[in-house]
Amino acid sequence: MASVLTVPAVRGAPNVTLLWWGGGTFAGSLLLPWHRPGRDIFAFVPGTTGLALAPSSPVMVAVLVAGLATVLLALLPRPDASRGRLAIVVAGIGSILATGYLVAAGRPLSAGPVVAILGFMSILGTGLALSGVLRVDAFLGGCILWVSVFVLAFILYPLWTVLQASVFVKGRLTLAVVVDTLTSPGFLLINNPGTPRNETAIVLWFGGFVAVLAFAMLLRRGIRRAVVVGLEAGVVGGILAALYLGYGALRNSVLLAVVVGTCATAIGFAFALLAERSQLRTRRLLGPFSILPIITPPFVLGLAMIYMFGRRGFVTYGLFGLSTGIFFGPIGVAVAQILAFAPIAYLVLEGIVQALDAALEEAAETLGASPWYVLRTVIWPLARPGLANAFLLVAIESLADFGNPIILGGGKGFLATEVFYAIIGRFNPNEAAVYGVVLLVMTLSIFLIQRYWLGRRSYVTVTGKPSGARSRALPKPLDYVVTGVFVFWALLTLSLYGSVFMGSVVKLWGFDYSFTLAHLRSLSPQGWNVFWTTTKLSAYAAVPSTLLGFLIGYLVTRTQFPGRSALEFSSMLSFAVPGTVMGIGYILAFNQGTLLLTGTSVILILAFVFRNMPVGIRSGVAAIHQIDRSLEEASTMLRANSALTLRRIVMPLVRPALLSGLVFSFVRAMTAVSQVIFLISPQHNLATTQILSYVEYGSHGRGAALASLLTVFMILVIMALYAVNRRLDMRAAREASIS
Amino acid sequence: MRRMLLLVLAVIVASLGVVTAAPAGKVTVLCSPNLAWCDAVKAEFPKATGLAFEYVRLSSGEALARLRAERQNPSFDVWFGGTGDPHIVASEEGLTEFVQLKAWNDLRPELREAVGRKYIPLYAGILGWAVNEKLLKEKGLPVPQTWTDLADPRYKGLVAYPNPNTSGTGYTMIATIVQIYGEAQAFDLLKRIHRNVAQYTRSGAAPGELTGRGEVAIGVTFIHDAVDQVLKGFPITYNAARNGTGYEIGGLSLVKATPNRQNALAFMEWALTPAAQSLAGSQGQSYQIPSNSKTPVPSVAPRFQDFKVIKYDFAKYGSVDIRDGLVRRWTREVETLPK
Amino acid sequence: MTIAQTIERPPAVPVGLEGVTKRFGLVLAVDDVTLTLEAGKLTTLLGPSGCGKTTTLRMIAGLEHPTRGRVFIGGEDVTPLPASNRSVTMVFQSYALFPHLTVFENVAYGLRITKVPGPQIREQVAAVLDLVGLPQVGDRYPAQLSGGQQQRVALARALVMKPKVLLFDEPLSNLDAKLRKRVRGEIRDLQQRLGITSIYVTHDQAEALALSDVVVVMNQGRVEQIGSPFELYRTPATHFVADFIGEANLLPGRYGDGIVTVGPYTFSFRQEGVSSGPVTVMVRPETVQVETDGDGLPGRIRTAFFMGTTIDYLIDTQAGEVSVSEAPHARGVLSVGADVRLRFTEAGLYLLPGDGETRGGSAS
Repeated sequence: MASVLTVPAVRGAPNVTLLWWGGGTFAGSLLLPWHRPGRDIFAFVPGTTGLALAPSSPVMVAVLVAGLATVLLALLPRPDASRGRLAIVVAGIGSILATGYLVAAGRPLSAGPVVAILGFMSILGTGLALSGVLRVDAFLGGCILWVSVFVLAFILYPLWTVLQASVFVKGRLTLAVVVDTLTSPGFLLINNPGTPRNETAIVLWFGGFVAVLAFAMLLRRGIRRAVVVGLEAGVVGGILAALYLGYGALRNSVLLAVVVGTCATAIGFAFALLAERSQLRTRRLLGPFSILPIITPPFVLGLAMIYMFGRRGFVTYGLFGLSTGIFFGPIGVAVAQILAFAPIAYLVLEGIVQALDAALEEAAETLGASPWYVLRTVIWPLARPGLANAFLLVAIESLADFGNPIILGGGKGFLATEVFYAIIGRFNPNEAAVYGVVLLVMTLSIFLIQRYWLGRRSYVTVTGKPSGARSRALPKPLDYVVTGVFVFWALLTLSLYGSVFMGSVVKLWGFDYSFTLAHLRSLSPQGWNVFWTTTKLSAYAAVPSTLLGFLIGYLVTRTQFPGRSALEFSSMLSFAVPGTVMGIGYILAFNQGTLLLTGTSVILILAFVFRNMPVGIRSGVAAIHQIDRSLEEASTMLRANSALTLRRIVMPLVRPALLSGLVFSFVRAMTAVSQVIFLISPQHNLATTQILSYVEYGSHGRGAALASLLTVFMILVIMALYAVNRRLDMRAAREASIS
Repeated sequence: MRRMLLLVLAVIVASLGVVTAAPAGKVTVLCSPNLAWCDAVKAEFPKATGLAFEYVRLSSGEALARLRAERQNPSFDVWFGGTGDPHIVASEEGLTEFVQLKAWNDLRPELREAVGRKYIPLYAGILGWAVNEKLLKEKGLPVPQTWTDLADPRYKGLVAYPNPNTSGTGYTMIATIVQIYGEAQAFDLLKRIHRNVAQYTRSGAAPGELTGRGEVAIGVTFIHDAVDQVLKGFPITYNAARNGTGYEIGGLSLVKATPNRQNALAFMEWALTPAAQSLAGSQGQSYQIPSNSKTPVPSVAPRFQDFKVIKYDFAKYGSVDIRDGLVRRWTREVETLPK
Repeated sequence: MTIAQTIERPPAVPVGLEGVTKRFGLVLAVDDVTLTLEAGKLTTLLGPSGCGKTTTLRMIAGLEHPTRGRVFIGGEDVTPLPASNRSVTMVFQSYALFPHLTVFENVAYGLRITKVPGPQIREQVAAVLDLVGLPQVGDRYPAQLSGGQQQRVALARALVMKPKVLLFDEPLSNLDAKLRKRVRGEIRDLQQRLGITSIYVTHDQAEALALSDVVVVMNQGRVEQIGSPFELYRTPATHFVADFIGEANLLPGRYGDGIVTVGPYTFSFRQEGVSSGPVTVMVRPETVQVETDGDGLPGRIRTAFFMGTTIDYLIDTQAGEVSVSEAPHARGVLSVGADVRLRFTEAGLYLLPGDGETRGGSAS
C-alpha cells in the first residue's frame, strides 16, 4: 500500500501514484453525483453523475478526459520530469474546468466535484514533485495543495465575502452602507446632544494639548523626533479622551477590550509569577482554577454574575441588601470577561515566566541592581513580548465575545452585539459586514503591529522546553499579596460556578431557594438532544481539525515551498479574527449557490474545524520543534517516504501533543458561541446557543441546568485527558531524555 | 500514505454522514411563542398526526430575519406564532403565503377582519407591563399608569422593554405609541423612556421575567406573559396604559418556497383545532385569547374588555416600509442615545 | 552464520560529483565541486565548520539538492532521485535513533519499509547487531544505552540496508575523547572488512588522518586538496592544507637551483616543479632541530613549555615566529630568552609557491 505513492526509482516505468489518483478522479467524477437538491447533503441524484451530465456538457467531457489523460500519462513510458510537467498541465486544466463548471451551474455541489478537485490537486502535487518544481515528494506536494484548497475555501473566501458584502449592495458597488453604518450614532458618538458641553471639542483640545506637551518635552532631542512623537501622543491622547467621553458600539467595545486586556494580562502575569515562584502551597490550585473558565463558554460567568451580583443577587441583595443595577452594564461585562479570560493570559505568560532565567536576574543583582531596577531593566524587556501577546489574545476574545454583552450589557451596544442584531434581528448582511470589516481591520492591525514589534524585539523564544532555568522565590510580602489576589479570584470563580450549579437545582434564584429537579428534568428531551448533537458535531470536527492543524504545522516547519508563509498566516487568521466575523463570513459565503451549506451540520463542523485548526497548528509546531530533524532524515535514508515518516516517526513522537490538541479542539467546539450562533438550524442546535436562548427567553433555571451539564462534562473530559496524558508523558519523558 | 489520506477522507465523509436530510413525515417550524408552548406542540403534534415536529424558537423579528436570509433555500416549512406585523411583512415580501384552511370560518371574525388575508390569526394578546410592586415600594414610587409615566426620571434604571429588532412585542409597543401620540411625539417619548431603560431584551417575554426577578421594576410585555410569571409565583402584578394600549394578533404562516408543503398544511390545519389551541393554556404557559372561537378561553387570560385597547392598524404597521422604517429609526435615534 | 553470509557485500561503487554547487540564499555553501570518490574506499571530507563538507555529504545523500551540477552513484546520475531511492544510508551526528522504537525495531525499520519478510528481518538484524558487538540489546530503548552503544546501533541500522554508499556525518563528535578513539578504530575495521564505499565528514584532522584511505580537504565551499593522509601531511598543496593538517610553520623564503634561503639561513633542498623565486617554506615543528650554535636560522626563545612527550618552544626569528616541538633532549629545557639556531630537516620540509602570506592560515 505504502509503496503506491513512492516515486519509482526506475524512470519510465508506470507511475503508480498518478495511476491511482488519475483513476480515482476519473471514476469519482464519472460515477458520483455533481449536484444535490438543497440542503440534503447525502442525496444521491443519479441524473447528475458525470456520466449523465457529459452528453449535454462539453466542459464535463473535458473534465473526464483530464482524469483519463492522467491514467494514460501514468502508463506511458516517459522520464519523470516530463511526466511531471504534463501532469501539472492536465491537472491544472482539469481543476480549472471543474471549478468553472460548478460556478456556472450554480447548484449545490455533491461528492463528485469534491473528489474531482481534490483528485486533481493530488495529481498536481505529484506533478510538481516529479518535475522537481517543488522539492518535496508526491505526498507532501498533494498535502500542500489540499491544505491550500481548504484554507482558500473555508478561511479566505468567507473573509473575502465579508469585505465584499460591505461595499457590494444588491450587486452594485457603493459606499452607502459603509458610510451609513460608520456615521450612525450607534457606531460611534462623541458629542452627546443631551449634555451642554461639546465632547468633540474637548477631545480635540485634549489631543492637541497632549501633542503640544509631548512636542515641547522632546524638542531638545531634535525637531523631527519631537514632531513625530508629538503627533503620535496627540492621536493617542485624543483616542483616550474619546474613549472616556464617547458613546456607541465602537467606543464600548474598544474600551472594554483595552480594560479587559490590561486587567486580564496583569492578573495572568501575577498568576504566572505565583505558579513559577511562589513558595506557598496555594499555587497548586492554579492549574484547576485556571482551566475552568477556559473550558466553559464565557457567558456562563455572565449568567452567574446576575445570580450573585444582580439587583436580586445573592451577594448584593441577599448578603448586603443592596438593590443595585451597577453590574448590569459595561462594568458587569468587564468583570465577567476578566474572570473568563485571565486564564488565557496566564497560560501564555506561564511559559514566559518559566523561560526567565534566574541567572540573568542574579547577574544583575551581583552588579548592584535593586530589585525594582532588575524588574525594569531585565524582567520587563524579557516579558514584554509575552505580555503583548497575552494582551492581544485577550483583547480579541473580548471583542468577539457577545454572550456577556448580550446577557449583562444592559442594552449598551457593542460591536459583537451590533453584528448579532444586524444579522439575527434585521438580516441586513451588508451592515453586519461593515461591522465585521471594522472588527477585522482592528484585530489585523493589532496583530500586525504586534508581529512587527515581536519580530524585532523578541528575546525569549518559547521553545516549550524550559532552559533548565532555576526558579527564584518571590519576595515574601509580594508572595502573600499575589496569593491573596489569587485566593480572592479563586473564591469568586468558585462561587460563580457554584451559583450556576445551585441555580439549576433551586426553584427560582433570588426568591425561592427550595430544592427541585424540575429544571434538570425539563432538559429532556430537547436539552439532551441539543447536548448530544453538540457533542457529536464537536467530536466529528476535532479529528480533522487536529490532523489538518498538525499537517499545516508540519508543512510550515519542515518544508520549503513558495507561499509557505502565506499559508501559515492565512491558517492562523481564523484564530486572530473574532469568531463573529468568521460567522458572518460563513453565512454570507455558504448561504446559496454552489457552496450552499447553511442549515446543515456540515457548516457547523467546518466552522469548528477551521476555527480550531490553529490549536492543532500551535501544538503541532511546538511539538515538531522538539523533534531532532535528523530523525526524519534518518527515516528518509532508510527508504521511507514522507508519509511513512510522518506516520511512523513523527506522529508517535508528538502523540501527547496531538491528543491535547484533539481534546482542546473538542472543548473549544463544545463551548463556541460567537461564530456558530449564525449557523445553527432546527436539526443542529448547539448547547451554548441553547443556553443563551433559555436565558434570553427567561428560562433561567433550564439555562443554568444545561450550563451545569456542559461544565461538568467538560471537566470530566479534561480530567480524562490529564489522566491519559500523564501516562503518555512518562513515556515521552523517557524517550525525550536522549534528544 | 494512501491509508492516511483515506482516513482523512473517511472522516470527512463520515462527517457528511451526520447531515440529516428532511425526510417525508416531518415538519420544520419557526416557533415564536414561548418555549413551553413549542415544547407542548412538539409533544402533542406527532401523537395527533404521526408527523415529526422540529422547531427553532426565534422571536418574531428574528424569525422574519431568518426567513429573509433563507429566501432562496428555506429550511422551515411553517412559521408558528409571534406578533402579526412581521407576518404581514413576510407575506408582502413573498416569503410566506396565505392559505385558506378548513377552520377558517371558525376563527373569530374580528381577528380575521383586522388581519386581512395576509396570514392566519392564531391568538390575540394585549400589550401591557409587568410591575414589581415590592421593588417600587422600596424606592417609594407609584405604579405607572400611562406611557408617559414610563418616561418619569424617577424610574431611571427600572424599566425594560424588548428590542424591536428582534422582538415583535417590542415593535408592537413602538407602533402602539406611534399610533397614540403620532410619530414625532412618540419618538420624543421613546427617547425620554430610553433614559430609564435598564435593558432592551431579545425576546418579548423576557421583560416580564426580569421584573419577576426584581432586576427591573417595570417590564413592558404582553399581559398574558405577565400572567404566566404571576402563575409561576413571581411577586408581580400587571397593568396596561390607561391612555390606550396595543394588542397583537399572533400569526400562522406557510413558508412559500418550502418543498414540504403537504406536511406544512397538515400541521397548520392541526394548529387551528381547538385541541391544539388549548395546549397553549394547559401546557404551554401561554394565556392568550385563542383564535378559534370553539377553543375555550383560559380562565386566567386577560380579556379585551378589561383594558383600553386601541384600534391597531395592522395593515399599515405591518407594511414593510413602515415597519422597517420605524425599527430603523428607533435603532438609530433611540437605542443609541447616550443615557 | 558468518558475516559474509548475512551482510553480503554489494559490489562497491564509486561516487562522483560534477560541478556541484549549492547556494542557500546569498550564501555559496558549495562552489563548483568536481570529485570522484573511489569504490570501496573510506573517503573523508575534512575542513573547518562552514566549509561545505556537510552540505556536500547531504547532497550525496539526497537530503539537499544541488543548485547546479550532478551527483553520480555507481555511474548513475542520481541528482533527481529523492534520498529514499539512492541506496545510501547515513550515520548521523546525533545518531538519530528513533526514541519510541526498541533497538531491534530501529535496526529493522528500513527492512520493514522495504517489505523484507519477517524471518529474514530477525536474522539480519541479529547478525548486524552481532557485527557491531551489541548482540544483547535488541529489546532496549535507545535511551537505555550509552553513547557509544547508541553510536553502534546507528551504524548497524545503516549497515543492515546493504547500502551502495555509507555516509557518516561527524558520528563521533558526541563521544568523549577516549571512546572516540576506540570507536573510530572499530569503524575503520568494519569498513575495511565490508569494503563499502564510505564517506566520512569531520572537522577533526586527527580523526581524518587515522581513518581514511583518502582525505578531501575543503575550505570555503571548494576542494583544496585530495590525497592520502600521508600525502596531505607531507606535501600539502596550499597554505590552508599545510596549516590545517597538523601544525606547520609557514615562512617566507627564496628558492633557486636547489638552494633555499630563509632570512639569513641558507640550506640546500631540492623539490621538483618549483620555479626560482619567492616561496613559502613549510616546516613541521617536530622536524626542526634546536641548536645552541651553528649556521641555522638564528632566533630567541620566547616561550618554552615542557609537555611530557615533547618540549614546545616558540622562537622569534627574522623570518617570523617559529614553533618547534622537540623530543625530550638530554640538555633539558632551554631557558626563555636564550639565543638559538634552528636547523630544518628534509623530512618536514615542503615548498609552496608564493610568499609567506598564509592564506586561510587562521584556521586551526
